[in-house]
Amino acid sequence: MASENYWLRRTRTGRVTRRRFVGGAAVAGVGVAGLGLVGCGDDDDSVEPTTAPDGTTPGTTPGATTAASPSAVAAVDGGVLVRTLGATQFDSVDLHRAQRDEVGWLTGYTLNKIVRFSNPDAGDLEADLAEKWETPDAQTYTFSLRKDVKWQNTPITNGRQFTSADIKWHVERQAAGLLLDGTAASFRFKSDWVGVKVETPDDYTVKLTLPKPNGAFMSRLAAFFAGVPNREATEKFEGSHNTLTPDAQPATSAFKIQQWTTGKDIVLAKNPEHFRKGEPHVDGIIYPWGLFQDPNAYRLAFEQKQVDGWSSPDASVTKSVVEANKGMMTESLSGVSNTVLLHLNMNKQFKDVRLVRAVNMAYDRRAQIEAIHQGLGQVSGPVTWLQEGWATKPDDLIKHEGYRVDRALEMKEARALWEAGGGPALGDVDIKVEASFAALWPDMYAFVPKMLNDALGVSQFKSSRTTYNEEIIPNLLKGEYPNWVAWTNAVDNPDPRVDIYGKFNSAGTQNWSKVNNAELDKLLNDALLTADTEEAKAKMLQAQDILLKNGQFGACNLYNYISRGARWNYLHATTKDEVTGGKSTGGFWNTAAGNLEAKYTWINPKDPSYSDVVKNRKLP
Amino acid sequence: MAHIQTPDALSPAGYVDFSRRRTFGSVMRKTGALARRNKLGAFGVVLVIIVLAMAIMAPLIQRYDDNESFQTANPKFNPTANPLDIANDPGLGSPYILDRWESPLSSKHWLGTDQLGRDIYARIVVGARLAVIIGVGASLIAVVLGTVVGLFSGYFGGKLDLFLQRFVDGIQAFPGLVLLLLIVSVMDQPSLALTVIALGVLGFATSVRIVRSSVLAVSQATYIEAARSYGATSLRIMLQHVLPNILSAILIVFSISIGAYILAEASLSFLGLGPADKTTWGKMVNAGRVSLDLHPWESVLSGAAITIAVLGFNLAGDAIRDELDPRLRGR
Repeated sequence: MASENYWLRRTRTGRVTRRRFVGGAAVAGVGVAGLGLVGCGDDDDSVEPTTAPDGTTPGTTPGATTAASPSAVAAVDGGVLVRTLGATQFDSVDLHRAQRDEVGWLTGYTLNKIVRFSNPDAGDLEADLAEKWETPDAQTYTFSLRKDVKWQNTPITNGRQFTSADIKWHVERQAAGLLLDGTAASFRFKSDWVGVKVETPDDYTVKLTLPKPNGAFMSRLAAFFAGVPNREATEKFEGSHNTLTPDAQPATSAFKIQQWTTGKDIVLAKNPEHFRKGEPHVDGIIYPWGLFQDPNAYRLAFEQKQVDGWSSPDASVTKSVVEANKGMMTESLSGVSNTVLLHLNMNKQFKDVRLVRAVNMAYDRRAQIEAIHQGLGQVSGPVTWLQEGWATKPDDLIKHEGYRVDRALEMKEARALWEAGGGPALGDVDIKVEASFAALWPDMYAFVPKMLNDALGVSQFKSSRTTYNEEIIPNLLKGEYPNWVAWTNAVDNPDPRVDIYGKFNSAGTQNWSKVNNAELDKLLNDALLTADTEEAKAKMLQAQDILLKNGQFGACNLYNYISRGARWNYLHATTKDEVTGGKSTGGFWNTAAGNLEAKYTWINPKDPSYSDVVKNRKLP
Repeated sequence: MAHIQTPDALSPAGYVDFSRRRTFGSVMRKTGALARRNKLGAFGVVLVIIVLAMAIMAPLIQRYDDNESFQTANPKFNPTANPLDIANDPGLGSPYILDRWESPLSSKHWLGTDQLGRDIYARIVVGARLAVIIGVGASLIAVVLGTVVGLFSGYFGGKLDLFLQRFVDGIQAFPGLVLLLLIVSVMDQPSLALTVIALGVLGFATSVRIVRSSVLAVSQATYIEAARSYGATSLRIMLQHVLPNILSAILIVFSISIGAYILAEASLSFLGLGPADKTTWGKMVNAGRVSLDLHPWESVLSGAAITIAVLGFNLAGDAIRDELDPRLRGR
């Protein structure tokens, strides 16, 4: 295939850059492996290596693919995709109040944002609900909205026009953080909107005035949770927001939720009211529930084409399956945007930062990457390597506690801090493993306590099970959450400023560790205020230094890993070159995966791997 | 003078004279005779002895810690390698490479290694200890509970019997594994103790039935009537006259159940609901099946260990039953 030659050529000539790889990684990562808080689909959007045109598989070089070149094959409309839900702990139908990335992921298919990433890798923006915008000064943003946006026609919305009033409500509700009855609730992105003045001169114009300059503001409008939900439906289901129902999320975008049943599936169908005609190419997408948590059932389903993409927790298995199906499958290697995190509760057992530092050092990040990801991963500091340019440089990172190569030194210092901080007096320390993470790697229950006990020379650490919805999320605000290790929220933006501010600034809405460090506050504030990106990056590097010296205040990023996935070739997955025009420079596709899938993903009935199993799929 | 049987010796299940003095030689002779008479049972006993020996001597014979990951230093390690290079060569990112999926029959790893480079032999040996603890522990709980409930139910009869038996009916009406999954999954954390208790509590229904039927039979015996006529209390009769005479039935239930509990625990662990932080055979079978076609050893060998243990306890249990209660043979 021409496309194979194209991709392979790029690989062989070394034109596949690191940033190119990383970019694919983000989407794929979330998707396939499941990974994590994001409930994304398969990793079909990733940069894919290497099934050569002659049918051989020359290794795992990312960047090559058998996927048809977009210019070579015209997209075909129709068909039903069956993908894999990467995570299933949807905690709310209210996008404003949801903590779990699954919710943000789903709305990527169904809701539009004011603006969106045209090239999520680089953070390039394009119009979405807004046709155009002006920024006369650093605090004023005026958006002209499209006039052809309609809500999905349901008994709640009656298919009404989308207007500037929808955005006014969207902003003011989050800023106030109040429910209809006046009670305060946890609004995850409240800090983005506090103090923002909204004016709506007419139905299609919105003027936002910020209380102070915010260099990351526009990218926030395109981020993971930035979709604008429907007011009537949100208010109607406000009291039962934990109960999943398609009625609670009427769509404006390419897909509408047809079915949303816990334990069964999510069914997305083409939204006939969507303003971008021609999107999506497929009639719908079915996401069976929880399949990724049973690796063997998942593999079987994939081999029988009951799902279009797949990834095994054992990377060698994925590789062998692709090799056994040369010419029919494509392998992908993709960085997972859900950072693996160790969260120690500084409000309870780990009040002394020395203890946090000790465990942060004792935790052997590279050992875990080798053990459960077979070496496919790289350590991440407070800002992950997915956010290249903002993150502490690798050469610097390996000089910091928890990242040094000299394990003997790490353990020696860790033990001294553990003693000095009164660690032995803590008694049993339970580092819980989140259930969906443990489903893929059950050995974590034994691996984590053994690693920490060995490193600290104690026998205090043990491990047990926890879940986001049952124990972690409900207790975050109260500071009663357990110590846990698992994925954390997806990297949702090339620009990490707001996320880091939220987690570590004393005014941050996700500052669960109640960090209150004046120097850190100032750096994070200054980084946000400036419109000068280079200055902001310098501030962020200084902020990371403080975090690294303090064990990241208990919210210890460990690493981001690389998932090896596979897909059948009949699935024309979104490729990075399609999105970026060959100018890929980074990696945050997950922020826009839903709309990218609508635009680029289709089923090729002429591919040899296409079969009746795929042809006969129907939406329920 | 004719031998006068005491009331206890009138057990309908056969007279067991525990007072007879036995020498080592006589025991060996009898054992040999038993083995010749019941070759399958003898085979089962041998298997049980092997499993028990593994369990008891685990710390001495396991060679390595069951959670120790073997590794080899990696000269290619580059701590600042970028992720693209790591994707091309996963070896770049780690200072060592785990000795994962090594084949069996090497001098270092007799049964090979698993995905984390852990010694499969060591894990099977440690798993044997867990299997025996769970099998014997659960069986003990089931038998003790079953004996208490069965004794009262069978001895007193009437409404108490009716109530207890309907309760047992209720438990038995549920598919055992489903009920077990329900109990274990609603608990916060599947621990070893929880697993043993859950298995034992669920298994007690079977014990109750058998104990109760034995009690019913014994209760009709003349010596029980005699004891009553002497004015013995119900508790005394149950403990001193009924219980000793149903011991054989209890022993049979106990021995036969062990294999079933080992299998049940393996099922739970296989489904991810066993003791989370312990090495168990069921967990090993599950862990290995992810790559069964590439690296079959972990699943196959741990599966074989389950088979051997269950087969051994079942055959041995059958043999004990045959010896102690010929009337139950074939049931």
